[in-house]
Amino acid sequence: MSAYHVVIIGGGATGAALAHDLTLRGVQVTLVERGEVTSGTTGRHHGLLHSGARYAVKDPESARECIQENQILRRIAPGSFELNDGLFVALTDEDLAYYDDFMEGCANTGIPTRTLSRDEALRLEPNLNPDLKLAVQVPDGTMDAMRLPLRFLATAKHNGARVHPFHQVTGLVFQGRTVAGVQVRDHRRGRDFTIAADLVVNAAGPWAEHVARMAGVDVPVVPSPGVLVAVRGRWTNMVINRLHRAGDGDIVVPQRTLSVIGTSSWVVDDPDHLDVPEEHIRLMYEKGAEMIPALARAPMRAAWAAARPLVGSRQAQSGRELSRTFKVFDHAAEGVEGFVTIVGGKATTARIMAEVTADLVVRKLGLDAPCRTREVVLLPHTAYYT
Amino acid sequence: MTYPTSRAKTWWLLQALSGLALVLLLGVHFVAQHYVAQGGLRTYAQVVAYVRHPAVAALEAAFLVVVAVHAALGLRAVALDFGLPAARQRGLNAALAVGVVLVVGYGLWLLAQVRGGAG
Amino acid sequence: MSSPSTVQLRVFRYKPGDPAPHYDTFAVPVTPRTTVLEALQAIRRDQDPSLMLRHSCHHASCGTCGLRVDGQEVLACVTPLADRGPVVTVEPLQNAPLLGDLVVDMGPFYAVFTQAGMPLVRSTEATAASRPAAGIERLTRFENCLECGLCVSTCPVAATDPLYLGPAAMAAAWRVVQEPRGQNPARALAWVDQEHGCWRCHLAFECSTVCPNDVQPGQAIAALRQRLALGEPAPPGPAAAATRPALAPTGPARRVGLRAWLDPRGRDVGYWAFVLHRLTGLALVVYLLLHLWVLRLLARGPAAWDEFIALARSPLFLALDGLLLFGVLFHGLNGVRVALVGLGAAARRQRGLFWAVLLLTLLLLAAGVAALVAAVH
Repeated sequence: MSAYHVVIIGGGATGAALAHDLTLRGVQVTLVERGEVTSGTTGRHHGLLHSGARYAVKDPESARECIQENQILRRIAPGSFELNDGLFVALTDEDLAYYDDFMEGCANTGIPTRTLSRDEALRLEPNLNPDLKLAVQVPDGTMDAMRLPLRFLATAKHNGARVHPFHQVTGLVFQGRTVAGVQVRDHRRGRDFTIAADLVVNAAGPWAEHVARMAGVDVPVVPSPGVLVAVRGRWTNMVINRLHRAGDGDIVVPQRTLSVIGTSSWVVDDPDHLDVPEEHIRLMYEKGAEMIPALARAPMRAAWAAARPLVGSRQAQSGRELSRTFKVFDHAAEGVEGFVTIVGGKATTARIMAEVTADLVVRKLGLDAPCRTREVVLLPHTAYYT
Repeated sequence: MTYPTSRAKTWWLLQALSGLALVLLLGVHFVAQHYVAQGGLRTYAQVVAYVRHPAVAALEAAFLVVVAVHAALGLRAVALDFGLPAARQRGLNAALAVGVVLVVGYGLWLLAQVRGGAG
Repeated sequence: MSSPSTVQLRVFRYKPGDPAPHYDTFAVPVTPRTTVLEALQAIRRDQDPSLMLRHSCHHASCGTCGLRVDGQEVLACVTPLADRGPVVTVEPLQNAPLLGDLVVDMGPFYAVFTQAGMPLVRSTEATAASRPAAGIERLTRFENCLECGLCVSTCPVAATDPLYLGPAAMAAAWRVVQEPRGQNPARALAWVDQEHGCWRCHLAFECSTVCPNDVQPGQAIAALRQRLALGEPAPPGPAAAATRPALAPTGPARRVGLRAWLDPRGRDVGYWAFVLHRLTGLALVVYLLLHLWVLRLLARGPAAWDEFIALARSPLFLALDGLLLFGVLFHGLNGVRVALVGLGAAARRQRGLFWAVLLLTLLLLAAGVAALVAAVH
């Protein structure tokens, strides 16, 4: 283990995967999170292990990341996924018109597909809208939004990383223009202290801009919430997507005994203020029921909002126009050393986000340590607690 | 090869079976009092006459044994409910066994005394 | 949507080093949709950033936000705050070490849970290649267990017995027996077959009542006992682990203890059956000893006995006789219920059986009291 110590701010999927990656490379890691781990955006996504097909047409870079990571995650996190696949269903002629673009996008990004006739699709999923024209099967999957990151954290912890939930970063420690540590408030013991670091990584997701401001730099992150609605009943076994350009309420993810309908998309300033507008709930029901009519009558279990940390300009209108890919910022470019920010991405791509970030981190520290997270099988999530 | 029977299971089953036996014995007890001791058990003479009936004596003795065992197992269950550690289970078992022997011994002695019409 | 009203949230507070926990009251605006979790997040955001709480998925899927709201175990994310009255009390789960405020340490829970040997496998869903079973939307699977710990918090045995394996872990063990998926069911059976395992359960069924995902741990425990007592002998497995793994203590244990027997908030009938069974049982032991002591008068002859009988016909004694009769009837009839349910028979009807036991107890009690009164007059 090297003498270098890196502090990661943020206990979401990104921070968790990064803690795992850096620890495997022999770096000492301390992760701080203001609340419980995975309590921000990470825990609240719909639980989709992306095949990438949702982005195959408009955002091929994201799509390629998704399918590659999809295959790696199945290998390193066995048991964390339902290998239930996904269907893109065409309901209208307009949807059908999108089919060629969709198939071409999938082919170009390496996403395997299988086209099913209406009858074949209904045989697999009898609750689908019987008016569907055709469906395309892709290797989507269902995951548990909290437990996959917990496996990264569990493995990191068992390899020596320190994970501190309920530790809020209140400021950064500077030596000249170099970030040399973080000031934290321990909400459990009610004390303030500093943690020295050779490098600090800002992995605060939609809060990344807030953290970056502590270093006097700016990162272009747009907190873009979406509403999700969980209804009772597992109405399909596969993930059901609408075969069209990504839009509101066009995905249903079965999760245990629930079906999760998502999502809407808008833009906010403060990711701590997320409303769940009544009309978005109605929209989820309406759009979901177009694909699976029984959803219209399914009792609601919960409705909630999660803020995506999208990379892009504040001028964004709804967030739909922004890429789902990620970006790493070395703030040395703005004259601040020892400080790196990672934003964007999605749960499915957390590992590659961590790999790219850790590549930069070890380069900055002058270490020669290759990434090992493609091969190392993760500990079960239960190991995080025991 | 058969699956080894655990003591825990044996105790629980014994508790359940002794409980069921008590329900039955109690039922028989009431029926016997009604038919054998017509007019009820109010005076000393009536009680002595009642327990002199061999079937009644056997019934009362059986009741005594079963109720003592059931009570001991119940006390043991409560002790375990409160997290009695394994190391002290043997001590508890022994104490309860002594208790059962004392209660049954005393009860049988009493029964013999009354049947003999002591006093 | 109606305009927001205000609720006083009485929140349990504790930080390591505090001499004792206390409660802080916060006024929070609520709409009909506001959940307990959202209200707590708003408190942390706007009033007190030091408030510790756990949450993740916000839709009853991750099992992280388990709390006691007005004494009942719930997932805060799916518990509306409206219509609960002007003051709502929020406390952390019980029978788990307390880390701070509303946060408990799930370490001991998971340490036992993993012993059950439930494989971490979710891939047995019908995949696209196979045809899903008809009515799939009604199927429940053990993966339904959210690992939230509500069942352990509400369990009256876990409240007093620190060695108890607990409902969640034993439900997991039953799943291994039902569907081994490469695991050894005999090992799972041997593991629960111990004093602090399935035989310790007293069928209060609080676990099944509070379970947010209908896992029914109580019925699973009954099924394990049925298999162990009546089922085909399982092939011998490796020796069972009979103790809890030692974990470094992280906070006060907050095991409820005897108080759990007497805390009525939010409890269901199976729980009352358990408490009444215990209390009548202990009372009957005392009565047995007293009874044998009194009967010694028989050995002293007619005079002593008849003197006692005269005393025994006093109203006070008759009232005590009525009480005794109630104890005997309830304990006996509920005992039959416990034996039947505890061996897996009618485990899903335990609630109905409780009412039957109570009804029969009261009917026989009335008949008995009438006979007593008639005998005296």
